[in-house]
Amino acid sequence: MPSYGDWNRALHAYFLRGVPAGSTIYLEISDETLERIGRRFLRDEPSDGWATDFLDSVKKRVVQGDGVNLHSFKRFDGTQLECLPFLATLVLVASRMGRSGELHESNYFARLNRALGTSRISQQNARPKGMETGSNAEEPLWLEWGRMLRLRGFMPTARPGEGARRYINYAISQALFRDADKQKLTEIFAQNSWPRDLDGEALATLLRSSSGLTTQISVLLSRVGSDAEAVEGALQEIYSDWLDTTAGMTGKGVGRTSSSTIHCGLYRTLHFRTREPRYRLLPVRPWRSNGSISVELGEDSVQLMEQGRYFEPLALEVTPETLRDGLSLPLTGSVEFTSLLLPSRKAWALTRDEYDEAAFGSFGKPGVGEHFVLLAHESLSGDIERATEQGLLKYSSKAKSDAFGDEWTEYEEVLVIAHQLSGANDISSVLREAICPVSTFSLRTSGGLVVPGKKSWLQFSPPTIGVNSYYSEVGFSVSLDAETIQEGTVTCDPTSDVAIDIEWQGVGGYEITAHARGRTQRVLVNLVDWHSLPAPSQSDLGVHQLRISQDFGLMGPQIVAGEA
Amino acid sequence: MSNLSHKWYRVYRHRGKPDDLASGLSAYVRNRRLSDNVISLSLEKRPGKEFYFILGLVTDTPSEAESIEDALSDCPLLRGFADNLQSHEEFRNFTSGELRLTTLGQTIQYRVMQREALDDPFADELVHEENPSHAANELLWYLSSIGNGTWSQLQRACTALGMHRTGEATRMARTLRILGHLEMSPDGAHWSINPAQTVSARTPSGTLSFLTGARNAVANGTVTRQAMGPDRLIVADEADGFAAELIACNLPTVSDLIAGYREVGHVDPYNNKLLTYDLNGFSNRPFKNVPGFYKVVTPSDRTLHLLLDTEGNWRSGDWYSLRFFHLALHHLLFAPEYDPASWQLAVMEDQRLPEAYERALVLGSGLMPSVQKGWLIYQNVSPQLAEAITSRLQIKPREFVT
Repeated sequence: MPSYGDWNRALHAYFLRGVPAGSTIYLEISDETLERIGRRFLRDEPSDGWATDFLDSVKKRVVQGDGVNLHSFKRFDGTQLECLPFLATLVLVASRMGRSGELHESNYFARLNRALGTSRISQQNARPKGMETGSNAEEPLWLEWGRMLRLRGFMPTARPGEGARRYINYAISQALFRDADKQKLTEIFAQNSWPRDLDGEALATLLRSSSGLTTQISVLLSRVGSDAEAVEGALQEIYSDWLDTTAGMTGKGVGRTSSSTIHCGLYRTLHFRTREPRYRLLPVRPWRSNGSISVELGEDSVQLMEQGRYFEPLALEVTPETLRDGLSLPLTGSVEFTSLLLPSRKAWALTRDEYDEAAFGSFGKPGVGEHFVLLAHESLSGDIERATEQGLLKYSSKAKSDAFGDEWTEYEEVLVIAHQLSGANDISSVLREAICPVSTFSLRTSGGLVVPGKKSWLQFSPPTIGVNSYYSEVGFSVSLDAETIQEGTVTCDPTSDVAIDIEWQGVGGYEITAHARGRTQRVLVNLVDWHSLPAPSQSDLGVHQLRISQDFGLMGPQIVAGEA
Repeated sequence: MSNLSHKWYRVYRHRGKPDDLASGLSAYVRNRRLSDNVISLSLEKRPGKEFYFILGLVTDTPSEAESIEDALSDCPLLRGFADNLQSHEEFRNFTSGELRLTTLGQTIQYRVMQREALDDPFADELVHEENPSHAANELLWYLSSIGNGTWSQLQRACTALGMHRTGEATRMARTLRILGHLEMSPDGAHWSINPAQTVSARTPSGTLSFLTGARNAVANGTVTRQAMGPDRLIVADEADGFAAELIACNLPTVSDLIAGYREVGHVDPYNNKLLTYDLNGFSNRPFKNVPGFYKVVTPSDRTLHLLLDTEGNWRSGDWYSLRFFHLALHHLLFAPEYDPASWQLAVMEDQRLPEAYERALVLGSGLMPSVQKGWLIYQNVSPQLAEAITSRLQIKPREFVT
């Protein structure tokens, strides 16, 4: 039987391993999630089911007599947080209550007592013995979880509530799609014949134009940035589960259907002197991908190299035929992922690479005020011109693509200048879905000295936090390690980008939240010092040499055989 | 539009010019701070004297709708209210003719995208002030952490570290190359940091060892500051052999080195503007197919620096190498001077050596040359190193003059 330590390692692996820095983390625990974690990371399915096994291990670790002892948890040691399975238990109880629709504080703690086998403090107070006050019991553990996430470059999501729900809201806030939402989603999936290999972003786009969404689904679909990635990741899991169910699979150890595909976008670079564009494939890292995956390119096998939320662009030129028909390439090295797919699309919106300002790629939908390159099939040229005439869209220049011939046009420095474009029914929905910002305002980081591979910046060179909005005002707040240090309102200037003047206070995890019209967006900025720079991988060093003859070159002080 | 927002339309009658109506409404919406709610104006495409127009309104708070309509009632252009349409379907049913749609609110104005101006990594040095060594150290730590990247990334890092003037990134990249920390791809588009390595050099009193290549903020060693580049870190460990002398002994002669530079194909002297190098710089003298250093301005206004060799091949390379080859081809080189007592070697500043030769000299000490009265002075150049370099250059050194 897995121990508390085994479950703790499994939870850390499931929620954090392989997740790119900067991601938003929800400790989304339900009976189904525990099944998934157990099957993936632990051996020998217990006879009473994974959830019972999990609760038994937590009881053994924290229950003393008829109460709990939370003071024996070790603080975050730099690698693992010992209290994580206990926090997962708090979320599991909330998840089970969400199903029955009875989320009240006294009911919650009654359920928690039943799950842990503990007794209530008194007739009047339903909290388990040992958890007399939330501020002394579970809240410090939630704050520790948030601190650990920020230290590792992730965005925490657990939040206190108001009044009586202050402490149980930490657990409630960890659910993205609740049972009623999942039920609605599967109804929508069943009503539509969507392709099996949809990625999370495409699913979100299709769902936005669906009717009958629950309020929670609508709110989640309006999120952008790393918050949206978490939503898209969860959507893809629900879609995969639904596909497995409809295919009659039990899901136990059987390969997934839709999640066996790694999706690709495009990556466009310009030669810094000649300005000639070059397109390559940009594979998107699946949510929680682990291990080494290689793609078969003819006779060569090329390993996909992780680079934040994506893999490094593949050294495979994109041809007109690839764009027209899409492309599927076999993958090796992973049981979960068997093919790499570039979908066939008529419009590609490519936004700037945050690590290389001269490059553009399929890094998600453009935000408000965010310039992008639009590579569009000629069949959309009428729609693009119509949107331009109506004052909805503007670009600096257009040219037939050198790379793809007469059928494709590249529009440079495109900007969606009116929110109305998303509802303009006389403009092709294919075009609108590709380029319209998801939200009415956006919060973006730019500049500064980024720490490679992490969502961090060097302390003396923080990023600029820009706000662009179709609304006239956006409120903001800045917190440093969960303490609010600044609040204010930005008056948005429709003629230019506006930056929030942040009072940086040295090293630490800053969460910048912008809000307008009941919607929020967040970015996490970790400021670190020089000692936090990661060591390079040895394979990243010594790539080039100074050629001194036909046969020899110099690599620093060393004479080496010449490059081919 | 968001699924949560409420959108509706108000229809009005109007007499007058449609363009005046559009600009008047736009000003009203802006001045009354209604741009979050009054977002579109649809006009009949071929209006008569009196025509209908439709305002598109939106709010996230349906209870706000009445106060928005109240705010509109003060506008003199909106006197002829005709109808309220509560959905897009009603809007479509109401309109029969073609409409001209313009935006009023919830817009941003178009602005040009900010682009960084990229320097040429192989150009000559436009900046002559010394860089503070802490910025050079930090640049080396940062680039070491990335391992390799694009020229744009390197220039952006220089900018973030305060080296933002034109030419500063070019100079830092060359300094890091000469010191053995970094290499660039032949076209200058990419760079990589070399693996960390100890270099040993002969000295009058024994052996000097220092570090090259990847480095972090906690690298250990005895620090020698240099204003032109990152610190030299002296270490106790010794490497096998003396790298500077090994490199010098394996360097090709000048003519062989030229042959190793990348050919760039034919350059048409009629379609491109060719400026010939002479000791005063580039001049407009007519092109006579003479081997040498040229500035080539293409029809698209791009500027390239190229060498025409004695075989008639056009070759690309870094600015200093091409200038040196020009001087060599025209027998204009002034012999370096060497002082065997102090182990110093001096090269005239305006005939700086090709990169590979200069690297060999610099790796004798781990320090960039100092500049004195038009000369570049290289330190700790052993007699063996001086002999190897000058023999490859096929120039006999002169006695050192201070």
